[in-house]
Amino acid sequence: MRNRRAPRLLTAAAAAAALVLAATGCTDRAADSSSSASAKSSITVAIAAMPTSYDLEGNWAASNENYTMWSQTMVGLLRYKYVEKNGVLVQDFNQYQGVLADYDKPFTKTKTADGLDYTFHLRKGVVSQAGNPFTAKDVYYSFQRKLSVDGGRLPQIKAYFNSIDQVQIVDDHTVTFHLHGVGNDDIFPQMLTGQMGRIWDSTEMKKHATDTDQWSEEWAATHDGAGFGPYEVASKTADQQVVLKANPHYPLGEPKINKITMQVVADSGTRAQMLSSGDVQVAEALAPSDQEAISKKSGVQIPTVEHPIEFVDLALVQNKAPFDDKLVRQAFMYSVPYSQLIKQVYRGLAITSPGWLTPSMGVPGTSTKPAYTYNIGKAKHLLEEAGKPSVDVTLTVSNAIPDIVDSAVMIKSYAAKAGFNVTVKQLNAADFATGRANATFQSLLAANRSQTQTPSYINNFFMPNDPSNNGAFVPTAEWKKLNADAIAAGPMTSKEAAPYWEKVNAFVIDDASQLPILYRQPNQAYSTSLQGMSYRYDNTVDYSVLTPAGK
Amino acid sequence: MAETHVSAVLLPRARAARTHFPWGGAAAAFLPLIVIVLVAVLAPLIAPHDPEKTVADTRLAPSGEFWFGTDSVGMDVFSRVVFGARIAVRFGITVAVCATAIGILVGTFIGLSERSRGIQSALGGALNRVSDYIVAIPDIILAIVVVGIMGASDLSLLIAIVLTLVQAPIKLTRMEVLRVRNEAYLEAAELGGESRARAAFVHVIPNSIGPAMRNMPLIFGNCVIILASLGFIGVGVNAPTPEWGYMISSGLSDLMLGEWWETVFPAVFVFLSVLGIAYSSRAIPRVWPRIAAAFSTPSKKRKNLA
Repeated sequence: MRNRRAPRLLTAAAAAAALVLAATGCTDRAADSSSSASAKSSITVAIAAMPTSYDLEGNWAASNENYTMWSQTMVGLLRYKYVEKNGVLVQDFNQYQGVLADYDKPFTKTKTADGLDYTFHLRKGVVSQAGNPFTAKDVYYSFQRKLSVDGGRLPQIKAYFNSIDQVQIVDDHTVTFHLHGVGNDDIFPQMLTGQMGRIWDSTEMKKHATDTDQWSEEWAATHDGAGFGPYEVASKTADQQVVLKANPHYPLGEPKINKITMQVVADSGTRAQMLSSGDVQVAEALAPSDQEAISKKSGVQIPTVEHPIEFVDLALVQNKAPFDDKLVRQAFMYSVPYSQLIKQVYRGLAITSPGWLTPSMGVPGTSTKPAYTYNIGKAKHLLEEAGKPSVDVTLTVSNAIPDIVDSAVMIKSYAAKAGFNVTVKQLNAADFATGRANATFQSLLAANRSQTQTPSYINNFFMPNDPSNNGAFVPTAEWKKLNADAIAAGPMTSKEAAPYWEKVNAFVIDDASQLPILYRQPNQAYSTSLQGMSYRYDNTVDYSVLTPAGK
Repeated sequence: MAETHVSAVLLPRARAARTHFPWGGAAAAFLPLIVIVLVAVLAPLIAPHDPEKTVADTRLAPSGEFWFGTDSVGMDVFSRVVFGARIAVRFGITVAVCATAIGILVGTFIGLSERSRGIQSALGGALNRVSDYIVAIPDIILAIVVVGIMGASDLSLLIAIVLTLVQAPIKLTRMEVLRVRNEAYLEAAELGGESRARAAFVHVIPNSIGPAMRNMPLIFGNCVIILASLGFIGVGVNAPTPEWGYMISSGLSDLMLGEWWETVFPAVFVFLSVLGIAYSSRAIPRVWPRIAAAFSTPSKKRKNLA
């Protein structure tokens, strides 16, 4: 009698499988989302996780959502100038527009005996999200705070200042920064456009200061409202969503999209599917395969740019065997299937890497020739020359980024032909960050970006004077001389300096310790009911320039 | 002479017993397990491609060339599913044997210690209490904690799963020991001067292991589920190991966009293997007495006649 259960169970199994198949079949519909989101001034956005910090100065935590929130609620004196190319607003990393400073002529630059003076002309009539008027005192307070708290990339701004006395309030709407010892490698304006250049409403911030928390770090970690950004937080629901409302006092004009509901949807495929079916109007942090899967659906648009700056960073740590041998490093670089990664893992939504120097840095005549190509013959020859025909490698990745894991697996598969026995070690995001900070990895693959698009900034990736760095490349005297020569040759975007920067790039490529192996396209998708797709230095969507289509 | 005589008498009967061996029932009971083990053992012959190598374009739909399609890295899903059985069986058998053996030893110790005094009693009581606490922790949480502490490796995964599944044989054996320890033959052995350890191994364990042994297939099945669950949440094996849970998890995002084959095939194999193991684990105890009877008839007769 009991044996009759087996066919019944098998039938149930088949029915379950059929249900799964039917369910997946349903997802294949290409919904026209334009009707659901047309001409809306409020949108819904699918994000991967809730933001964890609203203050990236005092409470640094790197994540797409934190960057997004920081970019919507806070602004600085400047931003990079937007230029529209192929329907996408891209930033020209060598031109500026004022945000809290005057729009057309935000600053003047004067050479002094020992450096440079930057004088900023501040906008008048600007009020903060809290309703307090914006003055030079806010700029002074903001820089005093930057020099006093620790977080993110503040050390790079701190490097410009010996004391707060270098910030001078000329009048209520004029501020001068007296910088010492700066040369052609000066990137002070770029710093002010970036994440660490945000200006606080000092009146509001001081309200939340305590005896033990002079800079209101505790309050700012979980609150907004003390800035001048285009949006402020209207409500938050733990682990579910955060709702932003437009700031009517935003200096560049109240955003056209006046309400943004950012809904947490952990899975990339689900975010893409929701956009495709019109449930959301923007999907952030998508895997390339998900972007590709919905790219042909009606009602979906995917931004692509000529020179993306997000890259996949391959670090072969040169103070750890087997990568203490340059020939082995070069052999490994020749064993990476670049074209296959771009075609298969990134589904064409990436471009080849010319190394660290990219056209978006503005150096004239920058080569776009790939730094390395897949060449097993060369790789084998180099390994033979190194006397190591077979090499064991542990390539560590974070399992939080599926395309990076896939890239590592594909590298393992292809590099085996050269003689590399690659073990892909997956860690969770926290363990990966810890291991990286503790310099324990032999090699690693990670998503990275240079938020400051200037050639001299590349040096920051190599953490000078730290031979145990997990950034792989230990700066040598030769490297330092090449950099110094390039800086001395002229302004970074000048024709005179260009050949020197090419030499700097060639040196790092030849060293083969740490290189961008490809540059990937923006990882968002938008509904066609919107226009004003943007791509900026931190890869966050600029919702303040987004408008309903046709408006 | 007597033995020759007995053999001569018993031979036709033994032959008759073997004639009545329940082949159909035994085959039906063991078949799912045998199929799973065969797939695992013959994986290199069955799988057309290396399960950890990119062999074609990514995300190809099932076709004549790639029966289950290809995954996000261009690896053959069919080959990976087949090799996935090897990992499941390897872990399943190892965990079932280790958990049962440890469970029998610990369960026997706890059971016998309950009528002892002194350190043995305290230790037995403590082990029993710890076992109770561990039972209260959900399997998957316990496994995550163990792998989190020890780091991802086959050994840590094995320890984690054994720790979660050893509790059943401990409890089952303890219950049997509590029954067996009151048997007269145990008392007789003690009066005969046998040491406690010898009595435990010679008399108690052989008479108490039945329930724990019959529980082994269930441990096997649970191991497959826990292994797949851990792989699904990214704890345990590293990419690109063809482990079913990991395969389901890595294909899940694509499932939402209609590329179902990366997820559905390994999911179906997990489902079918667990179903098969569950069937065997229920059928084997029913068939086992008949199998045992068929094989034990001659010897019992021999003993009776002697």
